Amino acid sequence: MIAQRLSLGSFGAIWVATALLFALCLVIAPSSLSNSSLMAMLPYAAILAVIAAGQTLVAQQAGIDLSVPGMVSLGAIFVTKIPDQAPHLMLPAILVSIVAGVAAGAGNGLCVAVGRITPIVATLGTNALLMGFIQWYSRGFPTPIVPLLGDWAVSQVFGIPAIAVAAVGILSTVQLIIRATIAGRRFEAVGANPLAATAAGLHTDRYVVAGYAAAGGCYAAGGVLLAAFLKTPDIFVGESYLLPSVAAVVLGGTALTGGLGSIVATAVAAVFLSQLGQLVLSVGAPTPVQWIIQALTIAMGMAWRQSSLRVLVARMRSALGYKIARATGGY
Amino acid sequence: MLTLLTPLIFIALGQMIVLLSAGIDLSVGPVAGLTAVVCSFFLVEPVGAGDIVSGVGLALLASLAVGILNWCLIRKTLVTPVIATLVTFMCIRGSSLWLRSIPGGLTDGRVCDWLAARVGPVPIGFIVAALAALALEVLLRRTRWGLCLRAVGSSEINARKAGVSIELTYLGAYSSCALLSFAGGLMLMAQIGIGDPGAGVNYTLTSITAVVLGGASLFGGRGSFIGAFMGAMLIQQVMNVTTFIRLNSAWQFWLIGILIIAAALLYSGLRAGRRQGTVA
Repeated sequence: MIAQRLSLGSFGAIWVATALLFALCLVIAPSSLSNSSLMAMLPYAAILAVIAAGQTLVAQQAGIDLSVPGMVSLGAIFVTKIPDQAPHLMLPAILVSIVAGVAAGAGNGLCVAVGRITPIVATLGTNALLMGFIQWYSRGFPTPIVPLLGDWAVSQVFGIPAIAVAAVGILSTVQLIIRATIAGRRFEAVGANPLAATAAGLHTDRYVVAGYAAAGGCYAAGGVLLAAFLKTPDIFVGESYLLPSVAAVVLGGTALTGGLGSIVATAVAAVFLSQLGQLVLSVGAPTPVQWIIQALTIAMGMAWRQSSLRVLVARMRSALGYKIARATGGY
Repeated sequence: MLTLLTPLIFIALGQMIVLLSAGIDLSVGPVAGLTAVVCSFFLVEPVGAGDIVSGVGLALLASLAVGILNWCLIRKTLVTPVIATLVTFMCIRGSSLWLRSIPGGLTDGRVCDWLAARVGPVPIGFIVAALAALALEVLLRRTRWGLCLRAVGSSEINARKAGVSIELTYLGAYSSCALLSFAGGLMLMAQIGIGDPGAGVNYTLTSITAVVLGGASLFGGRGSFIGAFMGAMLIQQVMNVTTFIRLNSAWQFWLIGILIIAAALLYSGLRAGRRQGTVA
């Protein structure tokens, strides 16, 4: 019973919150649930979900990744600059983008695991290096995406935006690797308890580096999707994704202090945040108010989580007290 | 260069206080920006004494409120400092954008001149910042406040056992950080001279870079204000050098990135070495 409550408390809560949000939309702003509105929301939610999946992997290892802006921009810059609108270079460019993201992520991981640098500082540093690289490589001006990829990004598969389908593909692959392979399960074990994992003979450092590398791949993939969707992405296009990615992880229920994480819950949180944005927009509130409402939602979500946890601890304590009282024959 | 440097010093000093208590404040940049935006409504030409008092006073109160809000979120709802100050970061940025959706409100030239006044070649603001760093360093090493701050940052449980009033120490740390960011915001306003909602945001990351370069530990309890001051100087100097020797603007990013990673590696290596030394 308690275990069930706990599981709802950590990763299930966001489902309930998202359902409530859609119900709220139905009541106060039905226009935000119209087909066109949902089709406009889904690509952004999908891109955020892919990026936030990377942040989830890092959070599981008790880290936080501030290099999201650099990594996402890196993916976007390679996929636009390498082909320079030549269709035959499209696939190699996508590949280079992802590999570059993985490599940069591995750099993060090495700084954290081997260099013993605090994740905040390490990723702050790599972000600066990446931003420098992007500035130098792009010479400061953006390039349009290959038209083929741009057309694909706005196409639909059975009425669902192609980007959302691609995102579901990426997320299920990551989820499958984590939940259904030995390496993935070990990765979770290292995150849940590094000391126990070390005692069990796992090389924790390798899993931390792999986590950051996979996260880098997710950011770069998000950057590729973003570039395809925006057609001509700004060179620092990833900058607006740092805070939402952290917000999605936190709302999804993965603790930033490490432990178990859920990519699915993070993805639902990404949908939640995007739909919240749509709702606020359709009510007619300007962008700044949108920011404030998002921030307040995160604060309330966190406060609720903490209080529900507190109630749980109190309940367990009283249950324990009852047992002790019965065993000793008191009261 | 000294004028450009002053806001960063103030904000880095604030960040240092919070870092000493084993926290982190991401909202420093937006607080500085909000100060400039709020003042831009009052300090327009022609400016009177009443405008200055109400504008600066209001910005001061707003900053203090942010500091207290940060403390409340972190200590009362038990949210981690990163998330709590991320929330205030978004709230303040939103508020700044709400107040001024586009840059506006030219600051009266006299106010800018007054804030940028110099003694010989050195701006007064810079002297104040340097003195503040020195004073905070002395306070940290010589007074009960400094001792409490370092104790709480090193180990909250032990500090509690030793009779430190934990909550007051945290409250003091976050509100003084907000007030120093406010001071940085005033200096920033004197430079940009207009209420720009996007101004100051970058100071969050630069201030963390500055204190890390100064040798502070993100785990709390360790660090020096003189170090943060020097870190800020180094960053500004690097920024200047790249423009003067006409390096590609990418080098600004690269040098900062290399500096922060090298500094972190060096310090973590030094500490590991020292720890092994004491064991052996």
